[in-house]
Amino acid sequence: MAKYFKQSIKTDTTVPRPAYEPFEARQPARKTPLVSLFRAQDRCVTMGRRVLLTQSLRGCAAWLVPDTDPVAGSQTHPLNTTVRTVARGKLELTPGHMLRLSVLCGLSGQTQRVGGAAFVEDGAGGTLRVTITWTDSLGATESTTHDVDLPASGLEFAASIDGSEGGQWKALRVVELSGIFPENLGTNVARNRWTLGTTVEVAIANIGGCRVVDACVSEEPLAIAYEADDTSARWVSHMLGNAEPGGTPPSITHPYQRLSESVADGDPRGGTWHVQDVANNQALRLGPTLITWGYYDEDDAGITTTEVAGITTTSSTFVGVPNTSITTWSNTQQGWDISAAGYARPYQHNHPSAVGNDGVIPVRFRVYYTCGATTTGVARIQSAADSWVDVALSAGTTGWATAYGYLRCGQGPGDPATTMAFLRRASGANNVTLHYLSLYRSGNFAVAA
Amino acid sequence: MPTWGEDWGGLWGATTDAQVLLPDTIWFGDDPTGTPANLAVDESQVATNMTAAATWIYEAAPASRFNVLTRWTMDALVDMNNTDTGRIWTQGGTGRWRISVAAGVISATLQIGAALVTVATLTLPGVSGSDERFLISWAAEPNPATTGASDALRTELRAWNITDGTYDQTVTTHGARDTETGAAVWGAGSTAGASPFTGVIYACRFGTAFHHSQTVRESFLSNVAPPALLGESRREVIVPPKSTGLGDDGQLAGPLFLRAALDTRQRDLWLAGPLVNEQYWDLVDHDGDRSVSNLTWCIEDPDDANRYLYVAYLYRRPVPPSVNKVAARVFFQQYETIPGSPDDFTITLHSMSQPGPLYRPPTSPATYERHVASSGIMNEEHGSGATAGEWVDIGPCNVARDLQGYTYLCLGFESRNQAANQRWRIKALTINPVFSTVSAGAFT
Repeated sequence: MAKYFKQSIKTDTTVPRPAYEPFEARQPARKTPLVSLFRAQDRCVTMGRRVLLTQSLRGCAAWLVPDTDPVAGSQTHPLNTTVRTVARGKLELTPGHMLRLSVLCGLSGQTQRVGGAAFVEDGAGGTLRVTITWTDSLGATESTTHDVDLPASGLEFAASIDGSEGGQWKALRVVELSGIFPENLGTNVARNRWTLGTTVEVAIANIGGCRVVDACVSEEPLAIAYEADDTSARWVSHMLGNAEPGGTPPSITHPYQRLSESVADGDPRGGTWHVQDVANNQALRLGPTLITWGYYDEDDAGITTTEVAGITTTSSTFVGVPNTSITTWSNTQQGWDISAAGYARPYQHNHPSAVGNDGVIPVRFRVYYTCGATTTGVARIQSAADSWVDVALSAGTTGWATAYGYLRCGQGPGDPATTMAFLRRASGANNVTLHYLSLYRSGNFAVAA
Repeated sequence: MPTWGEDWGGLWGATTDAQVLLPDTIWFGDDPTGTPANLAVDESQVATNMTAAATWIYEAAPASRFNVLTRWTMDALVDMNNTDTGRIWTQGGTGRWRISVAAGVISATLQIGAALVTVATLTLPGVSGSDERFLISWAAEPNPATTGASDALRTELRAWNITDGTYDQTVTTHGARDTETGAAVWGAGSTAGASPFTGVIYACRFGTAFHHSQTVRESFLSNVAPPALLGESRREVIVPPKSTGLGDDGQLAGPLFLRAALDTRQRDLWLAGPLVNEQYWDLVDHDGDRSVSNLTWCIEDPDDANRYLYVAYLYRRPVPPSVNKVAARVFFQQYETIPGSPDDFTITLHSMSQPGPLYRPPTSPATYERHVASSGIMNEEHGSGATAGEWVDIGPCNVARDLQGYTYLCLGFESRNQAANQRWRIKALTINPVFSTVSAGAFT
């Protein structure tokens, strides 16, 4: 019979810093500091607010949807049925976390529809759609679609603004969608299924007259559940407090290896073994998201384009992404910065003697790409002259490719880690195109391809 | 081929024993002249010397300490050119585990399933007809994306050309190596000196853990100065895994709990990544009088009429609970349409509890809280080229949150003369989370 340990992790906002002095030499053994340590191990997984995928204006100066009157007979505005994918990402969730969507937007514009043989006006409005493929630790998948309607403009021709200085700032609105789940999470079985390891492939799409300033799919803590016999390699929380991290703990009377030695349906908590497993699993399995990038460009995207174009090359030597004029890594050139990964440096790769003033993290680098029928390519992410990860791109493919490796990240903000992406053709004569990329901290364990 | 930007000339002067002798190091020998008698002295914790021969050193069979199967890093510091040949490392009578070199190409070979397999080759970067100094490193670990025995391990084969400052690496996957306890040799293919390496080995290290390129580089080549961090930093404190037996009955529990407590104190920022990490490619030419960068997209800062915020750099992002400040890195490009003296110009980072003063969403607190941090005054003439520009750091800036724990982040601009001929572009923006216990002593 299954025996579950579960916690609600919705409301925690701190990781207590457990006292270490009571465990130093010549200190008497006490229960209280031990319980405090176990409880603190409960809370690391309550901190996830990781940004997984975004759609932003990225410095643009004009909306895709014009402020003007639709021209009868020709398509000047988007159809309100065309799904225009603008962002994709793929990565692992922090155990116990689900997703939420925040949309900061302007007022949606005019749409059209096909009326007979011509395009005709079809009213103002826009819908932002998030589609997710959830893959559990056994490789089984669930697909969900989540639509949010964005507020429409009431101005003539559904214009974005009235033309005054700062007009776009008056028209801002916020729309949110919380609790994005793969299935009903009302049972321990379901919560446990999505705690053990979840990979999500997320896409953001615009339908109709959306005017999005910043859409952000991020993690939100919800609930975490382990079954007593789940492999010790999966536990990233001690789960001592019943019902929630601050809940009632079991009685701890002396140092244990584990509370119950039962082989089946025992209680792995409350002892040295579980402390060891949880600490090492946290270092292995948890970490920040670093880059989510896509080629979407609001003021140049087509109103009929259903998929982002991407950076395309036939060059056999690397060209930069997105600035193709850059061909080699340099910390004095534009790039992303991954110095925040310095907060998640594993000891194994950051021994203070060898790397005392620097930092490195294990990463997963995923790219969504297209290669011509007989053409292969290579995408690279690089954060130092001698630190990069390559991923091979297969011929005749549109989809995701993934690589595992290590990147220099420095020790934290203030210690810059300029990071650049590059793309090249490896063989063949066709184009290689990079549409989207995801980079995140991820240890040496198996994930969905 | 990337060029390393730091000075590699400080080798040995910058390197200390502590940088080279890591916990997993089971062999380390070095000598500044490459003399085998000195190279054969084991400076690792094992302290078991090898035997010196004419130009090579060896440990006779059974060299069991080198019989590691799934994780290793071996490094060698050598002088060589593109005519040098031979074996840098060998274990086993038939060279069943070796690094060999010929025509400027290094090859990493293993005995896998009774067959010799060259798992990786790498052309030494910048190798020429003249002797140059190279650091060569072969590291292997279990492949997390393995699909079976044939790709159970992943290898990284790397080479730094210390003389010309270039680097290259190759990554492959392959099967696990066969058990091997034959003689181990640095600088030849056998204890008798078959296939001698014709270059010079100055240092060689063998470790039983996988080390990434940064660890190897930091061990041998560099002496990075401590960075000036904007807030606190974090790093895992190792807790010995269960397999060590240190948590078993009969062991003292205190040391284990001590390390776990120290480790858990590092976890509050463990999940905090960049709030914004963007590169821009369809670049807006912002101008001093805002005629190009549309006035309707701009709003004056309530605290400074000469400064404006631009809606296309506005973000609403969740803030990790353990974060109290944010800091920006901006890659900007400044130039004039009429060449001359660029105007004084600043970029500001704003954190707000609502998206500017004109709209307050229901998720915002009643009071419009906002914080700002500014760059220094910049007046650079970068030109309008595609690769021109420079980084500027802004902040840290306090965080203003809304009721959902989000903050509104935006860039602002101020150009002294607000002239039409002044131009700037934003090419990249990262806004990082910071936890700082240092107060500037003033409102920012």
